Amino acid sequence: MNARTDIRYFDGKISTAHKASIRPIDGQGLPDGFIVTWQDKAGTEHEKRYFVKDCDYLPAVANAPHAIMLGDGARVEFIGEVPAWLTLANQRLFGRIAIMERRWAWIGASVIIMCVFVFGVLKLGIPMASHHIAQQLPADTLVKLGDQAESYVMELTQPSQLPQARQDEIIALYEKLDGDPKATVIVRGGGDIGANALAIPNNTIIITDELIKLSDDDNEILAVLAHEQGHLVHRHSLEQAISSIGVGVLIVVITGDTSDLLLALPTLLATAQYSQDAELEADQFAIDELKRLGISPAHLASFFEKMKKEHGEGQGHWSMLSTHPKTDERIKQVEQQ
Amino acid sequence: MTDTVFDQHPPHPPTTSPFANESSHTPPTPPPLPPSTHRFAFLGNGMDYFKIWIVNLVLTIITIGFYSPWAKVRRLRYFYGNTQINQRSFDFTANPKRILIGRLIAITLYLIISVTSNLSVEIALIGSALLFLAVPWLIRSSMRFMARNSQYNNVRFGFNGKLGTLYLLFIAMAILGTLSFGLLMPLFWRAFKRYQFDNTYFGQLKFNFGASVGDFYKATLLPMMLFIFMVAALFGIGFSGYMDTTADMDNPAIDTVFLVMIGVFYLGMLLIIPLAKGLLHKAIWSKMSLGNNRFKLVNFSVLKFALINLTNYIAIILSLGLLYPWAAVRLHRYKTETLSLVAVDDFETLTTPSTDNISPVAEEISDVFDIDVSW
Repeated sequence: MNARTDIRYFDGKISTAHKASIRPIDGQGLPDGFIVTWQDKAGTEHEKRYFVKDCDYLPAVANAPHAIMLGDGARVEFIGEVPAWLTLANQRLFGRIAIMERRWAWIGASVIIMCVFVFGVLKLGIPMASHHIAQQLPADTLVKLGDQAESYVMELTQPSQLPQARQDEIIALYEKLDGDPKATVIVRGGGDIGANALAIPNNTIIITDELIKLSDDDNEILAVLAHEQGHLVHRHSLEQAISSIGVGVLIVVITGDTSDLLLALPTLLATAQYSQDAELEADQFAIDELKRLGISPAHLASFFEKMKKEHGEGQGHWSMLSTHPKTDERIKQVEQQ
Repeated sequence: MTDTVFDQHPPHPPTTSPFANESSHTPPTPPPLPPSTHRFAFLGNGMDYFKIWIVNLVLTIITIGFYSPWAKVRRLRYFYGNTQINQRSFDFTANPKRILIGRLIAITLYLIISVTSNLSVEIALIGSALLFLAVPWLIRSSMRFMARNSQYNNVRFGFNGKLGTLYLLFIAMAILGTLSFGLLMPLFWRAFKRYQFDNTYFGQLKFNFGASVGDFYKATLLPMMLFIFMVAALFGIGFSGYMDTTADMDNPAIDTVFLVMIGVFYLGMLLIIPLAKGLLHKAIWSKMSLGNNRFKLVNFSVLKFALINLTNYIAIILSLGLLYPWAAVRLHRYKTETLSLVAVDDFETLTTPSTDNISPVAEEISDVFDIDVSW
């Protein structure tokens, strides 16, 4: 069965392809090599032997042909399929991959698998993984970053105008909460950030005069402190940081190209959604704490109402992009308890 | 592990010609033939690439990433194999196993550094300093790898840039670039691209990077001015936003201002980046030559190039990535089909592929250290 197959052959000396043919050499009954035969321009016949083990096989991709790179710098390009007698490394595997790339059934299945995978990773995989990783990491992972954030917030705010006695009352409120990690509560004049409360990952809670004045009842302030404590307990800053890394990796995998910063936009969308979940989770922590202390969770809801009345929804159609869920959604969560 | 900002990416094979005598030695040469113009062509299409891309993705996921080097080689073989000049194609011949080893080493190093840097600040600092120091070396290794594994008509490309030059360039860029508030960046960017092309060979023919400092400043002037204008406008929005707002606990108004700023920034970048890419592409390729043969842009419009980039971004984002293959092919086709080579050298008397200017031993040794860091 000395079938000859026509090929294109580059001899490794000049860069024009020769019209050539290839035929097997039988070792012990099995073809372990082949002979390439070609004519040069002068019409002289040439022949060269190669062993299959010295071949570097490049499987075909669409129009790019099957090719073999040889040890002496020569190259064989097949015009159609690789002849049946020639067995190259991983040839069957790449044959199957080529079939997958041609058949619509496989393409359709692949699209579905990808959609399920991406959706699953975004909705379940990344949140779960970042939650677990965040819980496993040492407690002080973000302390340095937190210290920076704290000094930044201190610059934005002024010293509190409230009498020291009132400040101490607020700090004493926090003592009622189940504090693990234990936070330092600081009262500040709102300045640029207005009525606000922040949980900083170095275990600091900052609450502003304006927010304290907005409340009618210390239980409302307690509810706010409990909400912020919820962020610390659940290590939301850490989770958020890990999530955005995860989304970034996913984008790199899909596009196979990281050089375009613009494609990071979806990261923004995805992390905003995680952050909404984090707010609701912090609310839930506050609700549970208030219940434990025998205080009605309604105080949390009434404070939300107050903010809404004071400033309006303020987010409207930005809600998908926004880092905070709609107030009504949050009130509903309280009422369901 | 990233391609970094340096636009040396894969789906654009170093474009070149086979039509050449030895260009380095001086006459006596045979009387020169009249120059002939050869157009580059791209035969691929979005649907074909989509099929390869989606199968690559699924197999990469199923094999938890181990298939990704094979995926990369298939992707590049598709782009190279469909890029033609004179009815002959390019080829990408890397062995995926080598890419896999490179990636495994890189990931291991990254993991070691990121885990140990949690232990102490000193290790964290040393780790990131080492990573930073390794960047020029990694970039050069990647350039060598990509060049060596690219070929046309069995003639390999090569890259022999000196590592010291790249380090000097990076140090100068880090110091002077910062001191000049970025005003010297076009200068450094040109120096980097020149380093990249002037050290690239096709067989024995050397690429010549002709774009001058002036060309680079001309190309970046408009995008830079637009960028400065946009940043100023953003400060305006941000400032007035802060003034109007008395933020409450959940700060929705501040969030909105912030989001509007991000939105404007993205919109601005969506317009500026494609424009800058187009202008630089033109500056670089209209003055490039290979030996005695000149590259020429044919019917290349910066605006059209920018528009293709812009609509690509929009299509990719709106389709949640599914139109990525279509976008990649569209851009590559435009780059390819607007490029031509004016060849003075004869097509039939070609360079000999075996006489690489790097000795075989040096080739073997450097091969061990050439890893691929681009994705």
